[in-house]
Amino acid sequence: MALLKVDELTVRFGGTPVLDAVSFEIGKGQRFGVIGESGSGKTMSALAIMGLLPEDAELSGTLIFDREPLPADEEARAKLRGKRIAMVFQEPMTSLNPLEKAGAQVAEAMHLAGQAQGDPRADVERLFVEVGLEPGHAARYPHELSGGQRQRVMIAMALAGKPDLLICDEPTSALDLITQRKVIDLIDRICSDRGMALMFISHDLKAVAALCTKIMVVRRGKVVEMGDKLDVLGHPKHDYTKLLLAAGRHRARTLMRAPISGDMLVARDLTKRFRQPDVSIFEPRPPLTALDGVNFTIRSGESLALVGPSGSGKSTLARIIVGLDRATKGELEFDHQVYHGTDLPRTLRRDISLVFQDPFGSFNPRLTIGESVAEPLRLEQGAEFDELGRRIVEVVQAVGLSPDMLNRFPHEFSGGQRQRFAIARALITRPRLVVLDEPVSALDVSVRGEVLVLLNRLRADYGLTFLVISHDLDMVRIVADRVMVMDKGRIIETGTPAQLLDKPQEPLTKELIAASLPDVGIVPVL
Amino acid sequence: MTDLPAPEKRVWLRHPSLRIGAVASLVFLLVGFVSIAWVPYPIEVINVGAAMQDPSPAHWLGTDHLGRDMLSMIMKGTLTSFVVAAIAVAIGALIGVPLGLAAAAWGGPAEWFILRVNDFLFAFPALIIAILITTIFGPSAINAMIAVGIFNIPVFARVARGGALSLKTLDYVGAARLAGMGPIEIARRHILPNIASLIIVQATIQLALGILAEASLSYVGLGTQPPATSLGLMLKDAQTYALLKPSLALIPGITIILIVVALNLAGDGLRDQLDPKLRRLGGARGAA
Repeated sequence: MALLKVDELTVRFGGTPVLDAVSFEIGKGQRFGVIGESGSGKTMSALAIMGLLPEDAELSGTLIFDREPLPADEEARAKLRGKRIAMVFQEPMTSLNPLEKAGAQVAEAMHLAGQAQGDPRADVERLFVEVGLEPGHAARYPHELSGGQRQRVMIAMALAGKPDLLICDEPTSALDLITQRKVIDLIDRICSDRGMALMFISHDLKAVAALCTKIMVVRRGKVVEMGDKLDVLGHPKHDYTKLLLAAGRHRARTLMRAPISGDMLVARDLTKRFRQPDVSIFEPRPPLTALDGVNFTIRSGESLALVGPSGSGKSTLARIIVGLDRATKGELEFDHQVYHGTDLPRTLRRDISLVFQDPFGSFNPRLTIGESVAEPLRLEQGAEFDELGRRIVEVVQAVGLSPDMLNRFPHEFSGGQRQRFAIARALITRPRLVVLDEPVSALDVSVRGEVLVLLNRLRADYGLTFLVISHDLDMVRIVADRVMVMDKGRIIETGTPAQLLDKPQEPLTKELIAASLPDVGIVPVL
Repeated sequence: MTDLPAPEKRVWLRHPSLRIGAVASLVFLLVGFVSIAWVPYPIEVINVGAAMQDPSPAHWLGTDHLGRDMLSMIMKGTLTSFVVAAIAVAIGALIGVPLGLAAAAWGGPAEWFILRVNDFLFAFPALIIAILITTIFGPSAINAMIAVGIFNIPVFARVARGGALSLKTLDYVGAARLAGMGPIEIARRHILPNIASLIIVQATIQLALGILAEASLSYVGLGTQPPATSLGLMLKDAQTYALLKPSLALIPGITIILIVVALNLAGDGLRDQLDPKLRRLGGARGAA
């Protein structure tokens, strides 16, 4: 008997359907996975079940929960929310009330669900232990908890009402690799312990495969494929599912090359401390050390990957190398010129460029893509105007886009296209060193592979040197010749991808590798 | 979320308070501008014989204690009020916005200094200082503009700094720095266009406040001087006859209220329209 039965669910915004006649069933205690890319409507299906759709949404179709249709009336719906159906949102920072302690928020969820008898403190403590937190965490405010801990608090709140169905909407995509794995394991354990049904929404095939038994693939508001995990992942019928599976495997060829010549960039004892606001004037806080005496060398023509958990100082290092930030101590040497960050000589700026992580924030929405891509050309003093025009066309074609797209605005492009333009902007001054800060982590799985292929091709064509920052070990295998592992501002291990990923020495490296989820399904032939 | 420019333009005009406010403000502005070229009766001409008339086909709003046509007075007065307030807003925006941007761009001691000067200005009741300035330099419409304008500076500086700080950390500003752009160029190309909406909204609201401030200054005799007129000056003239003929005070008073309400409605509507965060709030998703 199905716990939740969704029949012909359609959600429209002003006539355009974001969900188009979607039907599925979730049985009692079943683990149901929904896979889709951003904008595919997968979040809307969860919000429709919860009754939390935006007001301007038009809904049709039937939702039957435990043999009763879900009430349209808000008040009756609110009684189900949190008690029988609970939801965990993607971004734990914005889902928690910043002004209340974690324990109080869980207690409130219990109270609202009618589960609070007598002193809720003991119950809150039990829930905290269940989700792997210490009881002491209850007295902390959300900003005093890490991303993973906040998500655990969210899960505790969801569990407060002893729901029959737990909906998780991308619960791990804001977390780093190790924490992600821990949260997935936690959800797995809780569902088996409580016999709770799960609806797990994600774009990450591996996470869905690790948790769910039944899988639905959604694309542009329509169900593309649905069935048993082994069938969908093992024998995908639809081309789109095959594409997703192939993209998840990153079938790009590795480009192993011996470094061309000597050292290009040398970092010596690089240290960065940030001043922290004092707790009070009597209680000063020590500065936060983001980089703690970092030494390394990048040789000409090689591709060096930098991996590590979030907060380990990877991005700070990148910002200092490209000249957006200044080191507190230590120095960098590029091409025999010494600098410390922001004092990077203007003549060298064109030789070092950066590709930002988020293709949505890295373009000014009020400028055309062409204006943004051409921006670094002001570093090319003395070049002919015609030559610069040719340069733009060349670089845009090199990243596989057409020059007549240049007059359009950023919002007209998809994430993958924007990231291609971001790469074009980084290459337009013909740099020698390109720093890539998580270049594919903000992109949908299906376009990640092609961006990686593009990066490898560009590196071969233009003889570039890469410093790639990533927490995605699959990606590191493809793009890197050498890997550095960073933790708490220090470089703890260096080696080739094969050495490091297959025979890790340091505990953190081992943890990182253990955290990556197993591969799924077969490799389909496209 | 993706932003779609086409439907947004239609929504723009559908917002009722924006539409009412903008139309009413424009009507008053138009009435003011018409008075430059034409008024029913010249307001410098006194005709005591025709004083204190009730509204009639000849004088739609009647005449005042000196026999001047009230409609002509209101038209001229509206113009004066708008001009004084607009120039005060311009002074505030042209000095305040660059100061705010500079504070956000340089940080450190420059920011500290600008913010403290801001606090200093905020700490004084604006009208008291305006009275001080006009008493030192003599009462006139120009001094009133400068006095009100000075107090607009910190308001715009704050708005510009706040907007710039939130944009400063965005990647495209970082990309511009990598492209070798200096702070002034980044402010002009990347920051200003993106905070323009904030500044426009603030300007509309400050315009309403400026009209009130001008009225207050003229009422105490420190703003516009006769034979020119403003809505505040009309109120001042009318107070002697308030019991005898209340309509002399009511007409300019109601005009001030209508203008200020219209500008505030337009400002609020603009803010709702231009700030996507507020606009989405209506249909935002709740938390579990």
